Amino acid sequence: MEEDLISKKELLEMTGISYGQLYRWKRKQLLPEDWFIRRSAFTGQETFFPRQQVLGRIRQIMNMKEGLSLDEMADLFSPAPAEVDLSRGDLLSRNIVSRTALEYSEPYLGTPHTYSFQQMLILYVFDCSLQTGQIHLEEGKAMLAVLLDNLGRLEEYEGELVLLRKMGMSFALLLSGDREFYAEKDAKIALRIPIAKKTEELKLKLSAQEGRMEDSNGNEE
Amino acid sequence: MNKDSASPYQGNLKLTGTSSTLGGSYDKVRIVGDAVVSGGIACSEMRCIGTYDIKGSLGAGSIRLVGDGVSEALRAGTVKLTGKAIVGRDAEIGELAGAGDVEVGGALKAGDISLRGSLRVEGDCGAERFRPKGMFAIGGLLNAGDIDIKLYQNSSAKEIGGGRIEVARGSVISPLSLVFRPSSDAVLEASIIEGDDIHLEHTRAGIVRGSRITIGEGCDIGQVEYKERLDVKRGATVGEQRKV
Repeated sequence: MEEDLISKKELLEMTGISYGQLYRWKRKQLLPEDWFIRRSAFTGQETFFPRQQVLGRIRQIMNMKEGLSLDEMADLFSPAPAEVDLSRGDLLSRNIVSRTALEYSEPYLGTPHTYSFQQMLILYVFDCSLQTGQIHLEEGKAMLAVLLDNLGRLEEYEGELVLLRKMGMSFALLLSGDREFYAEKDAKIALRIPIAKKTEELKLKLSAQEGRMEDSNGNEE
Repeated sequence: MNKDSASPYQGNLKLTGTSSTLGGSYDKVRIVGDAVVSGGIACSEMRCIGTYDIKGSLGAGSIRLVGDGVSEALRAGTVKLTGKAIVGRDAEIGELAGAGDVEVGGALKAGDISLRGSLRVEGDCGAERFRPKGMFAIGGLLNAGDIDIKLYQNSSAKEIGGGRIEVARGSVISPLSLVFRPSSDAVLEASIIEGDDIHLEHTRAGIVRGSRITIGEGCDIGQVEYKERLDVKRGATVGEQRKV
């Protein structure tokens, strides 16, 4: 299967960014190394990018450029965990996870004083999977359990959480890395959640909220 | 960089003469003579007159080296040297300045590189400003916001990319040329050069792509693709040119 790629030239033309910007973003790791795909073309060596991913990322960078420095953005896009601990109250008041998801998670996570980034990520993914409306609560719990037992094994928060269904039975899988997989004919993929994307969303939520808190503190003084 | 009150380093390390020691965390490290360190070192400040051979990683707020230094991975705020520094693996340096030789076995990531002398990097070399005077050999991509190269001897990078890229031969009348004479046939070689503003002299490249490009004296370029403006000077060879 041929992937949908965009050449560097076409990318610069479409987005209006300069070589200087493109190389700077690469230096700052806003554009991951493995998106730069070298191919020989009739005009000589050319670089290509996965079209959807790179256009999405550039749109995000352009939108956030006003408010965040390149280094802050790099932290956001990095699959490494953020360094924050939040209490249950924070998670609810900042709208990071729903009360329902928190309550259902108690038999698995308990009620810790503060939640680590990894625990927040597990909760967030659990919450998102429930809110898709495409799975049952029990299936969500199975996904939560597989994350809880195995997320620590991933070196970075990349990979994919998958729910398979066959004749009323369902299985949750955590795949490491962005690999394709193939299930038997009768099996249905009920849900696929890319972990890196959720990590990014969660970081975005956390940082946006921090910014707002600082603002409101400033106003009170 | 570190606040004194919360410094994670304990005490200073002073080594004089020929000595060997274990590594560790220190505030200031002073070496006068030859030191062999059998582990990694982390410190706020390192000064060495002589040689150090660190069998581990070196992390320092600042490094001042007069002589030769060898370490595995290196992470430093500033490195100023007169002499030679060899890094076995990756190096991350805020500001790299001085005169001499630097060799990096992995990738080099820096804020500012203004080295007079020779720079060898096995992997990629990224910097905000890359302003070397001398020669360099970069096995991978040279990626910098602002590139200002003064060639004294043959230099090469697999690829070069950035905002502004300027390449010229070193001047014979600079004070540096007393000890380090610019070769009259020094050239830069790269397969691809890409940037917004490109001004090249004495460069051999397969492809040059950019917005505003000047191809100067002594250049031999296979193909130029430009967006706004191309100026090919006398004494330059361009195989094919296209406005895109």
